[in-house]
Amino acid sequence: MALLLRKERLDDFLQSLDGQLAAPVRLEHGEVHFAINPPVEQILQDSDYVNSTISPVALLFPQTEVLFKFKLNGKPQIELPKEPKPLIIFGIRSCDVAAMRYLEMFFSRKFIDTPFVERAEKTTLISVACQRPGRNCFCPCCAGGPFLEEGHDLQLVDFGDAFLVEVGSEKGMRLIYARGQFFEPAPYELNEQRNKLAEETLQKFEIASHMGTGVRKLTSRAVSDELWRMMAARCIECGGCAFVCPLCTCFDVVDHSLPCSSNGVICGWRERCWDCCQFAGYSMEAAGVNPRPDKVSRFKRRFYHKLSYFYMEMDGRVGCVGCGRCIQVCFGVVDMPAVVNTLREEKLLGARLR
Amino acid sequence: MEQGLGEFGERRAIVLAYVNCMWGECGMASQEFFQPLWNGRNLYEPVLARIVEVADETPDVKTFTLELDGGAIDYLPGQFAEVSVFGVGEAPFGISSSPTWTKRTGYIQVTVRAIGRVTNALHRLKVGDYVGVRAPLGNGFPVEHAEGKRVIIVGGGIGLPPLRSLLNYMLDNRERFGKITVLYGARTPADRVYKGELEEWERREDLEYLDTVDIADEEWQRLGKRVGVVTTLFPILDEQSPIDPPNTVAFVCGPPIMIHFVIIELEKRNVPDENIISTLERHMKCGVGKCGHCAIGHKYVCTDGPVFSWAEMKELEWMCAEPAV
Ligand SMILES: Cc1cc2nc3c(=O)[nH]c(=O)nc-3n(C[C@H](O)[C@H](O)[C@H](O)COP(=O)(O)OP(=O)(O)OC[C@H]3O[C@@H](n4cnc5c(N)ncnc54)[C@H](O)[C@@H]3O)c2cc1C
Ligand code: SF4
Ligand code: FES
Repeated sequence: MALLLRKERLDDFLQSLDGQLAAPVRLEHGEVHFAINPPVEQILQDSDYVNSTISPVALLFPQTEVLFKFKLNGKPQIELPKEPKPLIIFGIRSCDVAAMRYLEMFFSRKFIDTPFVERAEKTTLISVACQRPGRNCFCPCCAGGPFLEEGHDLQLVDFGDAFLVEVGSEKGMRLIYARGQFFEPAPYELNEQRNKLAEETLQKFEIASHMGTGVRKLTSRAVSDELWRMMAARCIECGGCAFVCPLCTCFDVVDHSLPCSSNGVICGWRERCWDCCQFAGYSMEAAGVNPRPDKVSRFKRRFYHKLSYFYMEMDGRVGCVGCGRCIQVCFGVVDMPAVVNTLREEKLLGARLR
Repeated sequence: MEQGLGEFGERRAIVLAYVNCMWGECGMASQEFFQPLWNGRNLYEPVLARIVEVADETPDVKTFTLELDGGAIDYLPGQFAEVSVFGVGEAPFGISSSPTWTKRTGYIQVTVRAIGRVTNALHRLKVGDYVGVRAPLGNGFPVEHAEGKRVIIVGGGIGLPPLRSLLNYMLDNRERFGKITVLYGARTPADRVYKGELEEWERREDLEYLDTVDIADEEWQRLGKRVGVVTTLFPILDEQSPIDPPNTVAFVCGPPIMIHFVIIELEKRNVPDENIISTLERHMKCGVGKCGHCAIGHKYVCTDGPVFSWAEMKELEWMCAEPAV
């Protein structure tokens, strides 16, 4: 089913939505950020931005989050965080929608990660298909975009003065049913034009990452130790790639506490915060043993995790959506496409040869 | 995990998870997952537990007996618990009591060596103090696999807690298992845990018990007991009760280096890889397969392990191109 949403009705539509609205805005130094309930006039239009610096999946899996609070006074008392409010993410890009679905799968595998899954259940994704990919984007290589065929609740395709609205889920359907007044049926030709737009967009990408080759090379262990060493030597272990990667889920857990009254009562909280498998302390055990003591083994771990078929069996898809954020942050040019293409060529590539 | 569910079975839920993949079968796929098995509403919310007894095992090892709020839990030998000292943190410990003992008493036990922040804070706690517990976690030992077979339990130092759980479980279900042999090695006599129980095992008729220490003290020498690493017990075994490879299941826990050499001894005696059962230790945080710290290859030690057969470990090593043990 396809519908049309006229742009002059967009503001009213957004304001009619229940719950918090997250939408892309431009901060004063130029970076794009998903803000909660921003003034409607500041919300960026499709052609105004490529994507946000930090993926909006961070709204569901934030950099630090309190797992529970406690009060120690005799028998400890535990207080859980409040249930999350409904959230609508407007303007999320295709790659980040794909990332969100991956995280949902990961966080509900075997055990349900309560904080994430509770939020995900109450989150609706209204994505805007990309027609101007950025210079670091390579989503077509990872089934992550630029137009979505699945995964979105609603997907908007910009047609100048109106959006073509595509419904991808029941959640999206319900949202529209309750607000029929904003929509009109889309003319049939628009569908054809949409497919043409999607095709044209595919021609605009500047880089490619041959994920399939990477998967095969790693899974069959066809990569020489020498090549691993050369690539790992370039990594400065800053953890930037993991922190911007919308699919990286590793976290650390820490307790904090302080006296909260004069009679010895202690108050505190346990929080989780993003962690990164490239850090030496990540796998260090208490007795001082470290199963991945050197940079090469940690570097290998990162790419095996994202690309090896055995690992993907668990997560169901390659651990990359092609958003290109790691390219932006990696000082050593050992981001995803650089590594994949190095594996493919079997020699270290220069910065320009992604 | 499945076997351990017991009365908690009804908490299991089936959902439809959205699967988006590159390799053919895409679309909706049904996925099974578990609610927390403990009382917490939240996966990370521990259940409060009161310390009812603290026993000194060695100068740096204590066994804590815990009474859980909301009653006893059902578990398998080899599963572990995440124990919290509020304000300090949480750490994983093998449950050292047996499920059969828990059924009788309502308590669970963990045996802890003071080695870092959480473990030292635990050691400072006293009877009546509270900790948090998330348990049972991990897969546990494949006890059915050992049914009707000869069982060899090899423990090194502080590796004994999960094996103690297993052994006591087997002794409570003695008729289900064949001959049971326990080999225990420690650095010094003082480093041995559960000393009272060791003596009892030594006295039992339905159990073969051999122990050794790396460095003897005077008392040990006076008694004329064995000195040497745990692998020196194997030649003795060969003489007094030789291993019948296909009908033998070995359970091995201890420091990685000990596991390594014990596996070599077992392989020399043709025990099949599937029958050599051991545990892997990794840095853990969440215990539920989310934080990533314990991952080795495509497995998470906290949910796919900590118990693995030697066959599985070898496969893992190949797949992730790094050593497991
Ligand atoms: C499945 C399993 C069963 C275990 N069973 C026992 C047992 O029965 N008895 C016992 O004494 N010890 C056991 N350990 C080891 C025990 O978990 C560590 O000694 C403990 O985590 C150290 O925590 P700490 O805070 O005192 O040390 P710190 O060095 O201060 O460590 C800080 C944090 O790092 C993590 N960490 C550090 N080392 C380890 C490690 N080796 N394993 C897992 N997480 C670690 C923990 O989250 C810990 O809170 C077990 C470990 C695992 C994985
Ligand atoms: S990677 Fe694809 S979906 Fe993501 S911002 Fe770039 S073009 Fe859009
Ligand atoms: S301990 Fe967190 S994933 Fe295993």
